Amino acid sequence: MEQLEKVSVLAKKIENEVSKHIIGQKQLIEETIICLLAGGNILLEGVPGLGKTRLVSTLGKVLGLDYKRIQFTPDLMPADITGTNIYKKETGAFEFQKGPVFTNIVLADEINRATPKTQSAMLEAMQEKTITAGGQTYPLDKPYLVMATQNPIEQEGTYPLPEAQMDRFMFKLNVEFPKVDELLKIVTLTTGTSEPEIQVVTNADEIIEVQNAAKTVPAADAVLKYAMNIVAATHPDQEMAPAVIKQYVRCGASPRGAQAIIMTARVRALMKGRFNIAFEDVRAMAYPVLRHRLLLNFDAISDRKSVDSIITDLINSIEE
Amino acid sequence: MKIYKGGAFSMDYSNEMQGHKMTEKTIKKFIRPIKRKVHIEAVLKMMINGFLIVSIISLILSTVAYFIPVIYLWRWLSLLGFGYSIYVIVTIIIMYPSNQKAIKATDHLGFHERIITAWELRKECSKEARLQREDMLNTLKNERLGKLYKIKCNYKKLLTGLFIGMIAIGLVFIPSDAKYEASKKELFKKQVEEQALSLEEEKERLYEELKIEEEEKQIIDEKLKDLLEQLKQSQTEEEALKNLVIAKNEIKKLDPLNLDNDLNQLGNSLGETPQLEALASALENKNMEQIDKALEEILEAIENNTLDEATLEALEEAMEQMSSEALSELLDELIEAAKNGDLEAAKASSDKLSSMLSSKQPSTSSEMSAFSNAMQSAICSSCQQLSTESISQLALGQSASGENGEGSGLPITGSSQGDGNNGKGQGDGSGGNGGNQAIAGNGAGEGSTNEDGGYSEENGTVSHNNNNGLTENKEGEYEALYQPEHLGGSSNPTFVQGDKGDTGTSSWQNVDGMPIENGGLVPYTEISANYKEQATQTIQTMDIPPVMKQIIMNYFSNID
Repeated sequence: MEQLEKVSVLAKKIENEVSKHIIGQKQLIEETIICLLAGGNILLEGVPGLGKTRLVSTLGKVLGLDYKRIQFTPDLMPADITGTNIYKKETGAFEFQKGPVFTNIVLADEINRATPKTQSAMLEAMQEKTITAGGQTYPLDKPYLVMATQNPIEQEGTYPLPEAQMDRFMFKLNVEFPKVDELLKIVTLTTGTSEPEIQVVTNADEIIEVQNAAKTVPAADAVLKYAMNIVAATHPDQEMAPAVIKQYVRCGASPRGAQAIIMTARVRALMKGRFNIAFEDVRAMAYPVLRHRLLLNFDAISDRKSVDSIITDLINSIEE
Repeated sequence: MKIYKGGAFSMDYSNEMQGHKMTEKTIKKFIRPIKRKVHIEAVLKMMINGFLIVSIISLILSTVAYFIPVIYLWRWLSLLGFGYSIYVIVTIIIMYPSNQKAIKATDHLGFHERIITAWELRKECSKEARLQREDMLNTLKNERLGKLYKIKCNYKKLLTGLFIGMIAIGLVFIPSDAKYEASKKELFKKQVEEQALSLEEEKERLYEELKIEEEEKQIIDEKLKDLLEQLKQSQTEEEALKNLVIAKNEIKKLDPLNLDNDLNQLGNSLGETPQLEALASALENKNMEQIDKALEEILEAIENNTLDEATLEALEEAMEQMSSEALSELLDELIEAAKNGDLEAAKASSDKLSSMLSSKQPSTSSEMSAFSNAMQSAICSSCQQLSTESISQLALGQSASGENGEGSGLPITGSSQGDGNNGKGQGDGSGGNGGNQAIAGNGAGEGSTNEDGGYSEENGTVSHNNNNGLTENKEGEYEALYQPEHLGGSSNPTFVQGDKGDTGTSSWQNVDGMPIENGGLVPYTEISANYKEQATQTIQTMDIPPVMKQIIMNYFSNID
């Protein structure tokens, strides 16, 4: 089987397996897989108890990858994340003790509760896939995925993530409250005597292979141009920016946003059984990519304008 | 075409290159039905937009034409239609879609940019390109693309355009005063152009018949071209007649005999002035030597300042009577020079005069004269044709209201002429030749008229000129020109001998010394002389177009 074809098969397998343990949240699961296969990091936002941690743990098991959870608190120190040098009596030397960040999948729970200093400790890991401690750089395992969570309702005593760090998340996904029938299934699944076993459907090597294959999906010039126009139009000072951007957006997406759209659109195309990016893929990926990259102004807050509605207006104003 | 080369990909050229052309051909084959439909759709859109615009313009034109006279309305509408046809043809040609456009339209049918990507990758040999091509072919092979694409048509716009167009056409058929005026103007314009054409044809005919020099032909052509242009620009009958009179006068100036007449007249006028006797005599004898000698004597007199006032006055009077502009100008220059004592200017004028007189070519003068006369006749004929309507109204001096028209002439009282055809006015009182004579004849009595002249009324039947269906009531705008004392009203009874018809009445009266049974006798010449005298006085005092004056005078001259 061609590598490109493997992508859609693998994605399907992962999705099916994860869906057995995470009820509902189909779009969340799909987008998580897309981001994973695109090699990006995810910021999950949702109220507590919606299964964010369960999602990450299930994903880690299904993928056959190592997974660790870091609960961010205000007293958490950078060294608690990255690791630190410990003096070994036996050898009489300092030995680097790896922190919880040394894994394949990191769940950074309530990342906005930690101090900016601690938050920035994740920066290098997320972007470079390395950790520098004590003057030495330690590579992280591949594939590497950081899934951070945020609570949208308890903002007191939290430290909002700086824009630089937000930009390093490929996706920001909103975890919605499940529907009643989904809730029923969740309760049935999780409060019973037994839960179905999680099957491992892949391994790290296969994921890396698939990640590399996904990068070769061709894109027509018109589609690439369309994606660039969307990103450029997020800046209110641009001529092509629609009125909604000029009115409600303080600052638009960076070129990372354009990269993220294209990379994830490729994976989505493969998951849909196509070997080329379509306008539809770009439009679908625009939401999770731009959601956290558009900085809204006070007008948007006072008018209670949601960022998704702004993105919808933006997409509608850009011609193919 | 940009492909991320994250991993190595193979460039397998074997059998792939052949695939390129196949892909391009295949894609073109797939998009062909879509291309056709996209073309039709684009053309339809442009056609409907154009149709709407044309309908709106037609409506505006029709509405304006309803209130304001717009000549050649149907021509404008036809031009609009023709322009629209050209627009449609051009649209069909230029709106043919490109491959890119057709591919884009096809992709929008749910193929998610497979075709455009395959088109851009058509020259690529990589694994990814091949996979993508295969995916595209698999997706498209069982699809009937022609049926998938639905041509979109803005029926609302089309219906709006149709509706507006129908209103516009409907408005065209609704009569109005402005349309009546416009049709009259069109008719007038047509008549003017016909007359201009006939004059042009007459000129060509005369060229063939007469031997006119090429140089003279050029002069004639130039002059006539300007004159006919001026004629075609006439907006009213009066203007047209005025332009025809101007044309006639200009043609008259070409007649070398005209100059002869002027010189004869000049000779006659100057004969009574002592200082100009020699010149007068020389002009009468048409002797150039004598003329030159006489002119030298005048120059001597100017130099010695011996030219008296009487001589100058005589010259001025003579100059005003000249019909030739050139001769008149030269005389004027001479007179001015004499008044100012400018010998050089006087000599120059004298030389020019001498040269003008000596350059008359007797051999061609008869040809030119014949041409000038023939053209003048043709112009007169055009005048008559154009002014038929005006003259009938003026001469009759009646307003026309209703189809039969009520005459506003004085009623005949007392011993009057008989009713019926005869015994009415002068002449035989029978119209029908449409000529001035008949018209005047009818007008002399209790007449009835229609809108157009040249009518005869016999026992109540009316025959009238073709007026192109314009039968609307029309109020005459002209007052009676002449109310001869012998007509109607309280006047001395006048009798004209006529044949008693089967109808009508007659009366008789004893007149001393004359047999009076069945009417009496009055010398015809007395009647016509009175008419002529009254007519002459009237046309001099009233504001009548010059050509009509001419025609009236011609009429009386012909009667005499």
